[in-house]
Amino acid sequence: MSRILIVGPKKDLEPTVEILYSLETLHLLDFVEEDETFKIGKPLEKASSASTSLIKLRSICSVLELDESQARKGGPVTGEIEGKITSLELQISDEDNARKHIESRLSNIDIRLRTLEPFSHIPLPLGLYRGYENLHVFVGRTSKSLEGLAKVAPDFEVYQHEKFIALFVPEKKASEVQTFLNDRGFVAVEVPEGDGLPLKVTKDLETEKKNLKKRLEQTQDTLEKLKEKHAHFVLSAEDFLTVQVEKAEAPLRFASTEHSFAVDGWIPKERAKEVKSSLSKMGTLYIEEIEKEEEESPVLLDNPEPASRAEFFVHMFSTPKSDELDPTPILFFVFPLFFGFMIGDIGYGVAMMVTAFIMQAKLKSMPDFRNLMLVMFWGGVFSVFFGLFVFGDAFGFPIWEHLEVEIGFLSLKFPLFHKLDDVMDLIMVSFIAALIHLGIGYAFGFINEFKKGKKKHAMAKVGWMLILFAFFILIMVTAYNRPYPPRVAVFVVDLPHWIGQTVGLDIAFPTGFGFDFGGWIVSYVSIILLVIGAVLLGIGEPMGLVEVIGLLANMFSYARLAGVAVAKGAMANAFNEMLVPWAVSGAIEGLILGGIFLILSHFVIFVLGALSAGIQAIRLNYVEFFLKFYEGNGERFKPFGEPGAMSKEV
Amino acid sequence: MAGEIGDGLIALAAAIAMVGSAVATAWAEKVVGAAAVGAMAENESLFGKGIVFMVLPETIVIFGLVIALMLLGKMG
Repeated sequence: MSRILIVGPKKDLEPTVEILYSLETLHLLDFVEEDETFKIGKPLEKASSASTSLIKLRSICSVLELDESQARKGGPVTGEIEGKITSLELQISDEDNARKHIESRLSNIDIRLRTLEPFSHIPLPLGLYRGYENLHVFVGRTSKSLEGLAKVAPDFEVYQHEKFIALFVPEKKASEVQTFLNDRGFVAVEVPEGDGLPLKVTKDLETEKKNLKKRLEQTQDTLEKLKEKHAHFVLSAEDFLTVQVEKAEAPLRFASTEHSFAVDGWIPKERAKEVKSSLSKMGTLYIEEIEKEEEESPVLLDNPEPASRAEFFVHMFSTPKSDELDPTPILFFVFPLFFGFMIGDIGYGVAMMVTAFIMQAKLKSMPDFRNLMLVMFWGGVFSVFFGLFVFGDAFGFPIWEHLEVEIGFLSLKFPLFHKLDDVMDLIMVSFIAALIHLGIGYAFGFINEFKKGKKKHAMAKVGWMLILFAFFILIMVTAYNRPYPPRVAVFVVDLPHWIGQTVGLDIAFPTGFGFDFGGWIVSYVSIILLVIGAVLLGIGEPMGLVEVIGLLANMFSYARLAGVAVAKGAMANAFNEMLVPWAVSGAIEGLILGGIFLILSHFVIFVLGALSAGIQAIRLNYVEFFLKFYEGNGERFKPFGEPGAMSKEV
Repeated sequence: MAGEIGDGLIALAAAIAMVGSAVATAWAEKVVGAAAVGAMAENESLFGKGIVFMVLPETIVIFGLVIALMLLGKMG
């Protein structure tokens, strides 16, 4: 990144902004420190009218319920935008006001209908419920019968419908009756305003409601027609004005004096020349590259296709600092690899590839989602690879069994592992993945610290790596010494011996050579590595010593690779064993129903598998891998003029 | 016969180790996860930090897994 300063006279402000915007390569630095001479720039004149129009447009959008996803047909807008917006606003606001009015009236009617409902069963006009001098009226609901009321108030008149009562008693008896009613769970109901028979009032209201609903439909129809007619104009005008506003408000980020302005920002080194030459065409601008520390610069991750597709994973966690290694390439390889191992099935792999391919083609408007799908596509490729060569599974059905191949000194049996029988082997494979993945993490950490000149921290990373190897050997040798050692542990422990044989040396890994803790033999090799590693770590990062066990936990964390693989395999197997005999039993309904259930169950396994494998694969990268070296918190490179760079809040 | 019962007890012990540590992890992650999602709603760039804190309690279940595997190693 190069830091660049552009200074020019104010009259050239607008063309400069145009050029910078079209280049899409300058990461603007906001000018903030005002003083006597340098002030924050003022927006261009067109800014206020453009943003007013934009606000109008957005309110139109919300009334018409238009959103970004609606397709824009045809080209960009031309002609008098502001006039068009104003006339459209007038048309729409009339309809919108009418709609709001009707809606509020409708909700009022609903409330009134609800309060009138209990009264409609009693044939008394509403006016008769109030306005007496010598009578007290109780209106409400009671849960018990009014038996015995005559004793309290001999002269009374009551209208009753189910639990609803309207009770008229002499005023002087009111308090006694109140007590009587309270004992019977009486709850008073307010008498609605107005006059007339409740039944008739209700009927009138119903008619009004019907008419209003009709009118509401008409207004909505009109709005719908307006939406169809003007959707394209509104959306493209919004795009156009957003750009206008962004350009017009750019000077707010510049420094300015009475007659000149200054722009400060970062550009990628390889584009510096291009920027300078297109700006110098103006003739009046002074352009200078400033010597600056790289570490302050914003970060543009720059990976070749297809690895660049995984960049969003890194940004999602945190943008790296400019002096940090970019872990994207590792992530792009490891994520699909882990994903493939966990799915490990040709059938689901192909399904994943097809799904990802279709989704990425359909969702071009969501770049991050599209990138995710493209990475998942590679996950599908790896699933097919593992399904074909390692597990020999297609939708949980074995595709080959007991196939032996001789490669040099290795005699391989296909499938290499059976998901349900070789669980310990799969866990051992997970540890190998942990060793390599975490080893790369510490190597990255070493390079990062070394580049920054922090020798002690770099040394601590070496210490961590040695401890990692120590734990790995400890685990492998322990597994090797078990009564039925997993094949993978045997392979790993015997590997030095085989390599030695090919170069004519007799090296054997000393498996029985170690401390004996009641039958558990802890290899000396791992103890030596552990001690050296701990010493290096103790010198570099003494506090790290308390976290050594944490590294062991990190390594066991990779066992989730085996865990998910086994769980998916077991599910597929269980469904197959239950449903296949049914489907092939010969009966036609068995064929149809069994087939449908089989497809459904595999669909469920596929969705759940893709989801959990995806989450676990990214988690291993984010938590176990990144935390070994990653600092993040860098600033993302956002060039001025890049589409979508400006927020939508104007 | 005695050996079989012993094996059964070891297997049960392994299962208890897994159950206890898994429940503990789930409970701890529930608390942290809810807080992390809340923080992310305020500020999306906290995703990275959030996920790290969220999975910290997973150490518990991993230790449970280690104990379970060691116990299973003792079975005849």
